[in-house]
Amino acid sequence: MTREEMMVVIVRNIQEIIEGARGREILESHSMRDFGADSLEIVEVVSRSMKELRLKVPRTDLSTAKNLSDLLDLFEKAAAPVPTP
Amino acid sequence: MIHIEVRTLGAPRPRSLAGSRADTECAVAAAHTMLRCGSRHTLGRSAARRCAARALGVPERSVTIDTGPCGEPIVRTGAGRTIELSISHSARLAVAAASSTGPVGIDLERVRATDVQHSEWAFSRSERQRIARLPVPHAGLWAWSLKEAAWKAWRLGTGPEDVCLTALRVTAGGVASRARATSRLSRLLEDDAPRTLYVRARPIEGPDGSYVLSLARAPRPNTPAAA
Repeated sequence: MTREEMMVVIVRNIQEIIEGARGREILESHSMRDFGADSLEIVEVVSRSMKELRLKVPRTDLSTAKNLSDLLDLFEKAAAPVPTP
Repeated sequence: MIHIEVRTLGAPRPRSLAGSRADTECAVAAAHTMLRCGSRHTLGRSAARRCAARALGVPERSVTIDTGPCGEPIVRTGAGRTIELSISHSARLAVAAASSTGPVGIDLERVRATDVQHSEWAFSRSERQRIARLPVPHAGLWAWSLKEAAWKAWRLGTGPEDVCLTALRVTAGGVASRARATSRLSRLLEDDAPRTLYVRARPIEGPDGSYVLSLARAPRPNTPAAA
């Protein structure tokens, strides 16, 4: 799964869940708050995206994400194969 | 004592605010309904100023609301007294709470279908089990609102994952719980800060449907410590 494919999933969920994002261009530099998301909508977008992408990111790590670029960084890290010894 | 103010986006300005700075902000919020995010923020600040003035017993014009390092509202006043303040907004409502007797956190969520009750990010396994047993529609949304209110009352930590709802139950007026600070959050709190809060949520009606309003506060001094 590439970063671009992850972004497609996140953007789709943002547009489905956050009313203020519908019809708007969504960039990695955006925060969901830029579209008027409340805390529950942010949780829904992230939770649904992780489920679709079959990723698990620690809750404390997720809280550090300030924008979609940070979130994608965490998703990429979680998706990276664990090196075998 | 805790003071609460609720404001509606686009509603006529409250008569009692005429001539104050809050009045101006209210009018601005109403005039910019399309800019929902910014308007809600302004409306929340307006409600907070009113709330803080009532809690302090001072005129609204002497109260300024600033933002702290974690985004939390801070009251500045020349009166020399301090109070705790919390703001929330969702859809077309904004709400603020002020307390002169300890921490306070408030949260507002417009009721809608959500699958947040299954979110491993939002809730721990034990919380998800408690939510599944809660006999109310939209149980996840109620629980989320309770958790947000508690987290905001403590004002520290990285997010709601630092708060654990330990006793979710239905009450006559809504849903209530105790909220416990995790060990990580406890290390960040001042020594005299409560590690357990009481949180209550109740339904309120807005112009566009039902909302859940949650309020977190410290246990009263004569109340046995929560488990």
